[in-house]
Amino acid sequence: MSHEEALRLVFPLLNDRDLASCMQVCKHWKDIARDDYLWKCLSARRWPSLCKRTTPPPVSYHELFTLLDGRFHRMDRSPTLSFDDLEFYIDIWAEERIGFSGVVPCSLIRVGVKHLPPEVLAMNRPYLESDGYKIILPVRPKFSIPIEGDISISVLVRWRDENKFACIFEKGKLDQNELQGFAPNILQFAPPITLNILKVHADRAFISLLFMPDFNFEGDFSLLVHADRSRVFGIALDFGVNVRSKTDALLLLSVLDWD
Amino acid sequence: MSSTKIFLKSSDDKTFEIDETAARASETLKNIIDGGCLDGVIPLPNVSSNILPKVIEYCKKHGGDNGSSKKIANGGVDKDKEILPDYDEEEDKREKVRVDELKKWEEEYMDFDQQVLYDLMLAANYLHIKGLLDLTVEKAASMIRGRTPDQIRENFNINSDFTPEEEEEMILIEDEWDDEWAFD
Repeated sequence: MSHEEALRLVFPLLNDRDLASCMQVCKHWKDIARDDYLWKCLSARRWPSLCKRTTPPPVSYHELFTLLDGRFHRMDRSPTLSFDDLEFYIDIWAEERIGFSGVVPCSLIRVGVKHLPPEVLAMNRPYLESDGYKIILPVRPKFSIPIEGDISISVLVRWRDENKFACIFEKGKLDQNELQGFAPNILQFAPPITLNILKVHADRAFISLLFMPDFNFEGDFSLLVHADRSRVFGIALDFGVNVRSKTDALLLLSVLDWD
Repeated sequence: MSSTKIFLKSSDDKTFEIDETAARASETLKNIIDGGCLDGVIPLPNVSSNILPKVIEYCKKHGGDNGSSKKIANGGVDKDKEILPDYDEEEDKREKVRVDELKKWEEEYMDFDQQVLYDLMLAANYLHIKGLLDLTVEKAASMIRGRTPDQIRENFNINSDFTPEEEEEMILIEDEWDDEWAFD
């Protein structure tokens, strides 16, 4: 029995954190501890539905685990995707009538928000400026939707080089209850709709519509309580606090079911 | 019942004596004995004289008593007993004492440094002594659990062969965020 065979007996007894430590001991240990079978077992224990997918994930289970578990923030290789490869297909319905339908090309996609447009209220800035990785998609032209009534949204993403599509958010309806406090909160959160891959983790990814007042307004925004329409100027895809870098966000997108 | 003596020869040509019942704790030895290939001394070219007495000590404790290690693995108490009508409380108590005593013995038995651990693991693997192999593997795992990479290296006497750049990379990779707001 070689050292390697001995380690292969020991490593299955370890949890994810200890196995991650083993990967930092030396190159030999790293090669053995990164064995994807070990990480598949750990992933299956943590997120059982992950291992029930019909197609294997395009990244290793080790990468997947690392990505989904915020404690380890390390990636072994860069994702095959880049933001330049992606375009987003967005449809928004208000009262079952299409309010916006468009392809948001990569050139308009910006990640991370530091300089917000002046219309964004101070009370919404902490969210947009907070940690956690967000992809902000501007919606052009801006469109108005009624505050009351059903709002649905669907987001597909296309990987241009491969001409493949993946569904990020299936068409889902905003809950009326979620609309409470909508104005003067310009920012409206949809109920958590999960990425396909993350159905077990309902709180991980969600989608937000970014609203601003539907008229030029100066003064006290709290008066907007009485506005009955608001203008959508953007959509935010929020991957939750565990996704802290562009690499993480791209890896998360790369594990969608691409067809 | 008197037991036949078996002689084992270590890789460095030292001979050790063991009872046949104890030797049967090893699948490998058991097959040799049952196969009738016993020809005086059994040579064990993969086990040195440092390790062989340790192995024999384990076999003496466990030979002819294959059930014990299993009961430890189950938490020491056979739960099925409680629903049997002829459940014997006294016997159960005695069993608990036996298991506790065995655990204590194993603790003391396993108190050695990591070089012995690896050699013992090799011997247990070679001789097919499942219980001993499990013990050594578990001991190795316990020397890793909850430890930092530095502490693990120290425990197993390993030097890191990562470059400083690679070490740095493992700590944190964080992209620079695009610092631009695209809306007009």
